[in-house]
Amino acid sequence: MKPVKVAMTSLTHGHTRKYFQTLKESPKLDWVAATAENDEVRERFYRAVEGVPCYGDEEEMLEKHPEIEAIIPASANARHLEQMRRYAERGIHVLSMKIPTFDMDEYDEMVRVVKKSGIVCQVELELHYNPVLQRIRQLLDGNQIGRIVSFQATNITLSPVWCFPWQGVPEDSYGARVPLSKEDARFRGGALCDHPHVFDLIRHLTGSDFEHIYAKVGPNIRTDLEVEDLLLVTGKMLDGTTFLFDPSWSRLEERLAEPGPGWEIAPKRMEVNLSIGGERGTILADCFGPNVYHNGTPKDRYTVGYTYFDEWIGMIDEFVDCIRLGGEPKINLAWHRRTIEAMNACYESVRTGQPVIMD
Amino acid sequence: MNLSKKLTDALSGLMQKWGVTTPETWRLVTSVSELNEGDAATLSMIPGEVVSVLDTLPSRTIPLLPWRGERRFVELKRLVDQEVITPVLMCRFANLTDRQGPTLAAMLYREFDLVEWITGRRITDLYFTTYGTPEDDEGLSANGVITLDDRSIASVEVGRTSPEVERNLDRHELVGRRSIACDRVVDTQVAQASVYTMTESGSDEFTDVDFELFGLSTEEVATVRSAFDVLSKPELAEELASRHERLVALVQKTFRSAKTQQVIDMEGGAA
Repeated sequence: MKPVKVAMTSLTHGHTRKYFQTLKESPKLDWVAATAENDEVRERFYRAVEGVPCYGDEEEMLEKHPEIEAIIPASANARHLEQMRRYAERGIHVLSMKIPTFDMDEYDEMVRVVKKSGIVCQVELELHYNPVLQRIRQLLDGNQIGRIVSFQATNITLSPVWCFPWQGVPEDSYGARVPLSKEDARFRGGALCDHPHVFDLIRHLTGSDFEHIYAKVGPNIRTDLEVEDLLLVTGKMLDGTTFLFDPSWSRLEERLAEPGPGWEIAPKRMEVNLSIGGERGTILADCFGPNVYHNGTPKDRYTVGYTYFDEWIGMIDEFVDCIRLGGEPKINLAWHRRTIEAMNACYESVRTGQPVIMD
Repeated sequence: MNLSKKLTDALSGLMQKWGVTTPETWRLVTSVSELNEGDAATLSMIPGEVVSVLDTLPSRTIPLLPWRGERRFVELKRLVDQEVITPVLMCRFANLTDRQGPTLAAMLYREFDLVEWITGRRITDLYFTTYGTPEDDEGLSANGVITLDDRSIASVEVGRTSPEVERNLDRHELVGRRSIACDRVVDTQVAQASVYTMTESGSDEFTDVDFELFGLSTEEVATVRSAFDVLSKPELAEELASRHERLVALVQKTFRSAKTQQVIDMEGGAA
């Protein structure tokens, strides 16, 4: 199969670095160019990646590289529609970041733009290509625990805002400056916006959808952030499954400008753990283990060192197959819409202090 | 041996060793049926969780809060009291067991006590969803979010979906502004044991926590110790009765929240 000529733009998203190795090594891709949002980001890029030209302007890149077939826009959420329009006009396929947008009008415009242009648009929910999830699917398909009745999940991390400042800016992260509630001076756009996975996984694994959602924010760990960093979510699915999610930034971090050693203050910087109760049994799962442990430099703190699975390989495989062979990615805009609606319902619940019944 | 008899024997031994005597007869029971069979003049001690759905307790019954004696909870509370973890902004408490284990109501009773006791805060409102009727053996799962009186929040997850579990599947985490505390090892999902054996008779593990009560499980030790405390300090009885009343009210509000899909305010009705 002919490799897909790919580019990456903006480079300000927290997932940016995770793509580098796959884009360089995948025989299915030919990484031809990148753009950076500013000089500092471009310098960082050149420190990490050799042999790929990095431009300061997207139009310039597109003019100089008409061969580009697909783009990964690793940008702030607020930029996604504008970028998708630009790429779709040129017939360039898009691997969207995990939050296309929280504005449902914008979202629907993205759907129209993609449909009209005929491009492939896949949303990067990489956990679908995680081997632990594969095992869970197999256990559930084999009816090992019977019908699912409860689903608890964490997607807890440190806060990436010091490395990726837009994630702490309501307009860039949520798309608008919307207060959490009348009594709460903070704004939408924090930890919740960073953690769509659990909202997606419950839909995927139960085959059901949200019936109602209740969410509550706690006081911030980081009092200088104007967005939420601690919240809890509970509710029910249409099939009666009860759920509990923790999508918080509850792991404290050193305020580094660039991710690197010594980032963690809490020993483990990220966790996606599932506890699934069925009518005939229970599954407990850590989607990112086992790991290694050290107390090395620069802070000498006991730290969980990740032994990442490379979910990005399976995700890219699907993206390329859809481009070359035709077909719709599993995580397309239509599927993902309900997940974004559920996350918006969390903010609505926080605003009203009441559960939100999903339409 | 019957569990109540086993615990009573252990408690008697402890009292004899430490010279603790009581003017009245007492008994330590672990089930409602045993409680109802008793002589009305005898002081009955029973883990509070077991009677978490009884409207009224038989007279001269003392509901115990045994978990407060478990070393891990004592230490978590100490971390909060000594401001090692400060301020606590969020608690994440979970307890999963099997169908032979306690009801959801009983588990909620324990977790609510732990939330308030460890943090030193009072629950002001709660919202819960459940699967199955939480009052009896049909209840399989309950999930909820709680607000405390300093606006910190807590999640409580209890479940009894497993046919049988051999180890403790609970977890209690405190998230503070500067730090985190948990009764489980970082990057693990289940409790670790003190001793593991791999022998010709197979693999086994042991966790022993009390030299004087050697041979009893962690939970059994906690029950005996809490009964011993009551018999040593009779003034605790009143405090335990008052605490029981609050915890039963919290459990009932949980059921109400799940049935009505409403946030329930502890001071009144729907928040």
